[in-house]
Amino acid sequence: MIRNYLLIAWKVLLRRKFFTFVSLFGITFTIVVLLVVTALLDHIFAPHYPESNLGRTLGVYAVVQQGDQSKRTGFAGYTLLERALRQLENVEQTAIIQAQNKVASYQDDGRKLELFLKRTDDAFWRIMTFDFLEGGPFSASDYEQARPVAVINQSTAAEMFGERSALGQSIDVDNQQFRVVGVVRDVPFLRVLPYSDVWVPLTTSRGEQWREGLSGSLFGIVLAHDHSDFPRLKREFAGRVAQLPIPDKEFKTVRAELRTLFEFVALDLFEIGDTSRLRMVIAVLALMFMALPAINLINLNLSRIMERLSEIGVRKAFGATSPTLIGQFLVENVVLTLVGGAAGLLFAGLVLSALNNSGFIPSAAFSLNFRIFGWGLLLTLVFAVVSGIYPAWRMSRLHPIEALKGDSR
Amino acid sequence: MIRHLIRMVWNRKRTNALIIFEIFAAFLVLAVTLTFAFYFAQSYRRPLGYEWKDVWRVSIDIGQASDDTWSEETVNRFAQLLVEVKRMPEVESVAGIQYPPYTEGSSSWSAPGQPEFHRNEVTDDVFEVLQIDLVEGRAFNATDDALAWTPVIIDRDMAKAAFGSGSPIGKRFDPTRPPGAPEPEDIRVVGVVSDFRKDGELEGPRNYMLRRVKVGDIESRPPRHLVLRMAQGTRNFEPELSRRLAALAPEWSFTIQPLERARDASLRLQLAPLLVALVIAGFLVLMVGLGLTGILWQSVTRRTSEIGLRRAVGASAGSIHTQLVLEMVVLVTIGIVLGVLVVAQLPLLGSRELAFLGPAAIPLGALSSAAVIYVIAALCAIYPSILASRIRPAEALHYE
Repeated sequence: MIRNYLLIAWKVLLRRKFFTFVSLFGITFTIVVLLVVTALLDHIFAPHYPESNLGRTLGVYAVVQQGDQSKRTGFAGYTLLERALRQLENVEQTAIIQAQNKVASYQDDGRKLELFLKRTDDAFWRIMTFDFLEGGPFSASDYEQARPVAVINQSTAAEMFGERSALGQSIDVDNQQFRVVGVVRDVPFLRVLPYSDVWVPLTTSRGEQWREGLSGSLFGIVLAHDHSDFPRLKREFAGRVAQLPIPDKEFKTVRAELRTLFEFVALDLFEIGDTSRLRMVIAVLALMFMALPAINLINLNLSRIMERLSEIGVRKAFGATSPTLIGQFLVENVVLTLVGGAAGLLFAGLVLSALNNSGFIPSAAFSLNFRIFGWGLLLTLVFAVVSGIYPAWRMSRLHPIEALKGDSR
Repeated sequence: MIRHLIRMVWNRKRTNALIIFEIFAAFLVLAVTLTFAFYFAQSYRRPLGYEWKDVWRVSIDIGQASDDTWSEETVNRFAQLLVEVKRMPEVESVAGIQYPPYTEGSSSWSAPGQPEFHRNEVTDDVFEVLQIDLVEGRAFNATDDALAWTPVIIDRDMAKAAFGSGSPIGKRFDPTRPPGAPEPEDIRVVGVVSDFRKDGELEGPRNYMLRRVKVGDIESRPPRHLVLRMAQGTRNFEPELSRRLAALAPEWSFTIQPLERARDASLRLQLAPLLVALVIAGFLVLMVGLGLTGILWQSVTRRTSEIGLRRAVGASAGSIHTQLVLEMVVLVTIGIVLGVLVVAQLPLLGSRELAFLGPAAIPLGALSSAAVIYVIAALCAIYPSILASRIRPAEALHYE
């Protein structure tokens, strides 16, 4: 049965090439746009190199201090992370990471490299799973002794030293001297927490002011043994933060929460209330984007049905029921959209690699994977049903005699 | 004729309703995208109010998260820095500024009953460094240190919003204060600039106020950036400047960037979303156009007998042609009229969120979107109507 449907679907596809081309054009374009957006979201929120432990990681992304008149929203300060995050019990690791800064590094030959510099601690390297091409991370004693050592990424090493080994070399970044102890594979820009070009111990920061304050320019992350620990850790952390003394007279309360990255985006950036609602918003946006291409395809499908009136008339006259005909037409539409979806996947791959090579987003590494392929398949099927159901229903309702006569309004 | 056409469209209303909806949706997508394109084009033509060429920006990181507190030491060191940088022969002039051009960050205020405005904090020499276009009054200068009140300079938009058509010079002015509240600070206008579009060519119109920084005074916060006008022909000075700055303030971190580079990056970032939207809208419209061609083609095939009959009773090929194109025009017009009705709601609602677009962008966007869709529909109708006019009456009547 299905085999017959598929065969008919294939024949119909080949019959009017212009229609097939136009339908495929619309489907492919729709799937390309949706897949590229999916790949971007996947790139930001799914566990990728070097955040393979993302599923067990919680972060402190924002701190809000509030008084009667004023409110200060910012990143976390060292005091808050030291006294609340570092005190959490029964966790695997906690790390403190500075929001990266863009700084200059002037080379001896007069070139200027604009690099991102991130200051962090030794636990950072245990939470993130970096690929070291040379050397290794800096150690706990490097951190405590504030030794001027640095880990740099592959492309910075190539720009600075070319083919030579970077290990042990001295580099000048932001007017500070560091000795290179490790070289890692490049991190994509949109991995906010690990991304940088140069990583150095937080303790090498200038002055002492960075050790002060509830608000500052730091992120804190904690690696739990298991994500079932999340509710306990969140409770414990919020409780500890609430008890911290507030040095600034201006403010009465301080609030900070442990969040996953997705929770942070949903709750704090877009203030949506809960994470499932953000998912819903994304789904609704995707459906809205599908609307125009779907209507276009519906119109084309309706035209094509009219072309097949006699076929439908014969089938109805010989007793095919409406559900059978709806089923047949849906299968045809699914075949059509799957062909378009496959082309969409191909073009999405091309668009993504063009994006990667354009250099618009530094060291972007957008790619397609099985997760995105799955989403693409789902989107394609949703699109097939949305654009197929109405024409199929219209077709099934045709009166056999009129259909045979080839005349229908 | 028109009544007849409308009746023809009405006869096939179920099919046509969907086509009209498709045109309506395409019109809206295109109108929104083009509205923003016109808005950007409009903005791009307005003067900036300053000159960015040969200016370098130095960002200062004093290792402190909040800008709201500063120490006596910070204030003194900043004053020292200005003096030392000015001594360098490569630097023509230098000034401090909280939010330099093409740089993220801004401070905006709105008190109830007062015009909303953006504010910047600058030292005296900023007018020389950025060659700010002063149209009335005077720039800040060293004698302002002795004043008992705070001098500010506002842009034309702000002057108009706060003082109407009269001259604002010398008037007291505190737009952060709700009407009727006591006046905590004596602020007076000393000058008017044509504009100060900090975010560059694509920034929308907004009220602006420049507040004077009293260099070396503990009450006045030291700005977080320097702007330097470089002497003509300065080359390879950046590493040297970086080293000298580091020597002057070892605990601070400095990042140097020519404004030209910052401008490129900033414009690219602001234009990227529009480019993406234009590409997507372009593909959507192309898709709709191809779809319409397919539908028309199909309907010509279906209406062979009708067309044959008209030919048989003497209609010329041209008039068949005209009929099909006009039917399309009727469909498109209905779709666009519906779209215009929706778009017309936006300015009528007087929504404040859309006020920044100005009076012209929305009508221009809608108009050009309608024009594009008419052209595309006409192109779509060409091939199918040629097919139709080729139908020979004898064949067509034979068709069934």
